[in-house]
Parts: sequence; C-alpha cells; structure tokens
Amino acid sequence: MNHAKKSREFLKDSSYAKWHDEALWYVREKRDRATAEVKEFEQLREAAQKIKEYTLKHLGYYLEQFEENATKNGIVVHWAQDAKEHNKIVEQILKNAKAKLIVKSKSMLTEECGLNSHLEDSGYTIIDTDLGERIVQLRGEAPSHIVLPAIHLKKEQIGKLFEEKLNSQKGNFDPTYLTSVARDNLREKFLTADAAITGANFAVAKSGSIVVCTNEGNADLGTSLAKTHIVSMGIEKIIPSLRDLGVFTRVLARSATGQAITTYTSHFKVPSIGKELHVVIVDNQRSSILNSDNQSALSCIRCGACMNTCPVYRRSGGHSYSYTIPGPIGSILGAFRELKDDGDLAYACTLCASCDNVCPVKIPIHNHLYSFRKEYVKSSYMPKFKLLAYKSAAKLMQNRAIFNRIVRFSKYSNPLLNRLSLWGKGRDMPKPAKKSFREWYDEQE
Amino acid sequence: MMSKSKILSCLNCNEPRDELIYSISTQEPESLKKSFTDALELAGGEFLESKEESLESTLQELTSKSVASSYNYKVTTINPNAIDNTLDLSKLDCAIVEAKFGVAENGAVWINEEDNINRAIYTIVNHLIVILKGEIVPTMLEAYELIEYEDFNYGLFISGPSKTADIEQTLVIGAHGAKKTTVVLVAS
Ligand code: SF4
Repeated sequence: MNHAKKSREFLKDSSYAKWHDEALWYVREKRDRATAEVKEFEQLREAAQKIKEYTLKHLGYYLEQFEENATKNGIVVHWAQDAKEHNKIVEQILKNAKAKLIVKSKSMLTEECGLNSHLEDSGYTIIDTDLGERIVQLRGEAPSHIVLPAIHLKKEQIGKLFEEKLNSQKGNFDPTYLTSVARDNLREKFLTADAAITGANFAVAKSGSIVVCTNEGNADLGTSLAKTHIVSMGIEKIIPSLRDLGVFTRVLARSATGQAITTYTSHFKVPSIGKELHVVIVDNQRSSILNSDNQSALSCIRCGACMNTCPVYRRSGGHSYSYTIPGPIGSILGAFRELKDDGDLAYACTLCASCDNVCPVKIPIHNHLYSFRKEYVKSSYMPKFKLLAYKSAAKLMQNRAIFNRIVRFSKYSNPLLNRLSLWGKGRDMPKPAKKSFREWYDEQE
Repeated sequence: MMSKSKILSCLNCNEPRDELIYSISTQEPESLKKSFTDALELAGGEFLESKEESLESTLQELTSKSVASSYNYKVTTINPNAIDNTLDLSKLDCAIVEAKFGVAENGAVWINEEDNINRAIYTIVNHLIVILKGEIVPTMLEAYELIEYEDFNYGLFISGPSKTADIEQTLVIGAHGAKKTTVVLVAS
C-alpha cells in the first residue's frame, strides 16, 4: 500500500490524528527551547555538517584507521556488504559464543537488516530492551519513529498489552507504573542474557572506540552483564576524533528530545577482561548513496527532528511510510533504494523545508525529495493518470492566454474542484482573490 | 576479507590532504557551578556539596543498605570487583563512584575508573552516588579536549538518573539504570 492510502487510514480517526500531531509538535517545541538556549547553536550545526562531509569524503581512510585502532584495543572488526551478510556474521558470533538469549538496545540498522526475525528463525531469543522498542516488539510491529518507537500508541493500548503479555494490574495505565513493570520484566532478561547487541551513534577512528547514547541505560546494563557485545554500525557512523564528539553531543539530544544531553553517553574502547567486543561494519548500499547526488543523506545522525517537525509525518504516522526509517530522511533513503516501491515517498512532502531548518547536520532534505520527484516522473513507476494530469497542467500553465482565463474562472472552478476532483479529496484549492494580479495591474495608471 | 576490500574499493582510502577546520565560540556562563547544578536538576539528578573532611558523614546520610565502591569509604560494604555473580550485583542498593570532571551545560559527569573493572555498577544499582573532585568545564567541547588524550577502556558521561518518556511522552525516572543519581561536589 502506498503512503497516500495508508495516511488515509491513519486520518480516519480524526481525534487520534490530532493527538498524534500534537504529541510530535510538543517534541519539536522542546527542541526549539533547548536549541535557543545555546547561542552558538548555528555554529555547531555548521561544524557538524562540515565534520560529516569531510569524513564522508575520506570515508575509506577513516574506516581503515578505525579498524586498525579498534583491533589494537582488542575489538574484533567484521565487514558486511549487505543485510544478509550482516545477519550471517552476527549469527556466527552468537554461535561461537554459545549464546541463546540476546538483549538488544536501539539500532535502526538491525531493523533495516531484519536481524530479529533472522535470529528468531534460527532459534535464538532476542529481546529489545529500549522501552519503546520493547512495546512495539510485544505488539509484533515495527517502530513508528526512530527516537520514539511507540509514539503512535496511547497509554491505554500499552496498558492492555502489558496486562496480556506481562501480567500487569488490570486497568492501571499509569506510565510510571507501566515503566516499572517493564523494568522488572527486563531486569530478568538482562541478568541472564548471553550476548548484547547495540547500535553505534558514533565510531571514532583515532581512538578505535564506539559511542552509544541512551536515556534508559539499557545499552550499558546489557553490555556490562553479557559476555559478548556485538555492535552493528553503518559505514557512515565514523568520525575522525574524540574532539569532534564535542560538537555532536551538543546537538544530538537537543535536536532529538530537547534534552541538553542523553543520560548516558558511553564510550566502549577495550572489552572487559574475559569478554568479547565485536563490531560489524555494514555497507548495504551506503557506498552507492555516497557516490550519488544524495551523498549528504549519509550525514544523518538519526535525531528524528525532521520527523517531529514534518507536517506530513505528524499527520500520517510512521507506519504510513513503506521504508524502515520513516519521515523525511527515510523517504530519501527509501526512494534511493527502491524507486519503484518507495518512490511515492518523495510526494509525502509539502516541500516546506521545515526539516532542513531543524536538521542538526544541515542536510538539504527537501531538495533531495524534490529531485526524487523528478526521477519518479521520468521513471515508468509513476501512475499514468497522475502523469497525464501533470503534463496537462504544465501545458496550461505555459500558455499565458489559457492560464489567464483559468485564473479568471477560478472563483467558480476552485470550489467545484474541491468537491469533485481527486485533488480536492483531503485538501482545498486556494481561495482565489477577487481580482487577479494582471487585472489589478491593468487598472493602475 | 573479500567484503572489506569490496566495500573499501568504492570509497576514498587515501590519506586526506585537506584539513578539517571548524571553530566555535562558546559562551561561558557566569557561574559554572550554578549552571551545572541547574542542568543536573533539570536532568532529574540531585546535587550536594561537601567539604573533604565531612565527606564521610555526607555519605553516611546518603546511604543505607549495601554500598559498592572500589574506594574505602566507611559506608562501603563491598568492592564491586569482588562480585562475579550477576545476581549478587543486582541486589546492590547503592554505588559510590568518582568522576573526573563535570560539564556545566548539561550536568553530566565524566566517569573513567581504571580501577573498577565491573562496569555494571553504573547502571545496576538503585542509587548512584558520584563524587566529583575535579573541575567543571563549560561545554562538551572543553570536555572532549580533556578526554582526547586520556587513556580509557570504558568511559561514560552520566547526566542524572536513567529515564524514559516512551509512554505518551510522560517523563518517568528509573528506566533500566539508576533511579536516583546524586553528585557530591567536594570542595577542595
Ligand atoms: S536527517 Fe537530520 S533531522 Fe532528520 S534524523 Fe537525520 S540528522 Fe535528524
């Protein structure tokens, strides 16, 4: 199902849609307050953009430097060209470690690779430990947001889910209570897990270390108790040195949730005595993005700010997007990978550019989406009737005489179009002014 | 190995000739200590000040049951390095750890304890007490300048107690890590 259809489903319950819209706008406002407090925030965004651009330009060099230093530190580095290879490597590590129960903290890459279902099919038990991710895992669905995985759910829905799956008190929907139920349940898993999987927010080439940011402490608790720690990271997570983290740790949480910093910013460099630390570096088409016009999309630090601000995301929900990562940045990545199936995501956008303005690494997100529209139109995937409509509109607009007539006629035709045309479903044609500019202009002395 | 060379063959592996240059002018707050306490409290943490000579009695007031620490405070009941059973670890109520420095803009403290090999104590206890004897730096930029040449195996910034807002954006303190974090600034 394409984005437009799924959004229609989402919008059926208008009070729910409004609630969702407001929940995300609330996060956006927190972001605004937090960033306004830092006078040099714009300088930080520029620096963050520069560091990412520079590293991407020399990505091979820094990846090799990372591998060399990480290996010196006692980390085992693996390389995977695609999702399949990534999953195979992770499974082999788990097999060697004789692991059965695995706790995992947030990692969008493992979602992208479909790691959970791969491991479950092979008989492993894998538990997502981030509260939001645990909730969606128990519901058997995907996260609807990269930072707030369960933002689409109301506490009553979560309470009922916990009643059924975690034996919580009937009718108790208090978030504090529900969180404590999840904490107790997951504590047991943490204490008995054989291996812990985490993502990486950053990988530092010069020190050969991995940085993970969480609020809950699940990455630290999981990795410190289990014997084996596996990090899944995309090739684009590299930054040159620790010094650069000064910039990113100042912008990440402020952009994401409006906090000055996440509760935990953890640096894994040398594994504990008797324990193993593996890093799987994954390409999975990132190198193709790097060598395309969409390179800057790889600068993304997954803060989620572009989702919170997006008027389309807020009113359609993360599950309306066909790619793993929803929202503006996900639409770029999705359209790049599968123009046929995900190319329509380029239209899940009003081109308002609000995302560009909040992005901490200054990715020109809406420009990318606009260029995918052009590609989509040129491809054979565009629905025929849409193409026809676009072409006719272009013809009409290029002909001044016809265009003027349309403008004059619009006070009658627009209300009609609102009612009758496909375009008018779910949106309104603009209200025409009493006089067109040309009419007004001709009247002037 | 194959995959490594295939991935690298699509990327630029040459040593950079150009330099990465950026500069940021940070605004230093009037009082580093005040910014630090404000930010820490906003992050849900508690702040205390203690003189070196009254530290023991401060800790006595803060703690009750089992106290893990690799430092020999009077209240210490066990050295975490002596515990190798995860179940015993999970019964600990409190841990006392030391931070190298604090960060004014966000109330975070940098913890890198070479002597402590048991990394679970930072998150597994209910109450984490952090002794801060070092300086407070304005922002993370100055923080990483200090860390850049530091040697560490595992180090972390902690700002307040563990928290989540995953259920309807309601802030709940005590997700998986410590439910309470107290920073004790020791005046030198
Ligand atoms: S594209 Fe920018 S705003 Fe969106 S998640 Fe990535 S870093 Fe954040």
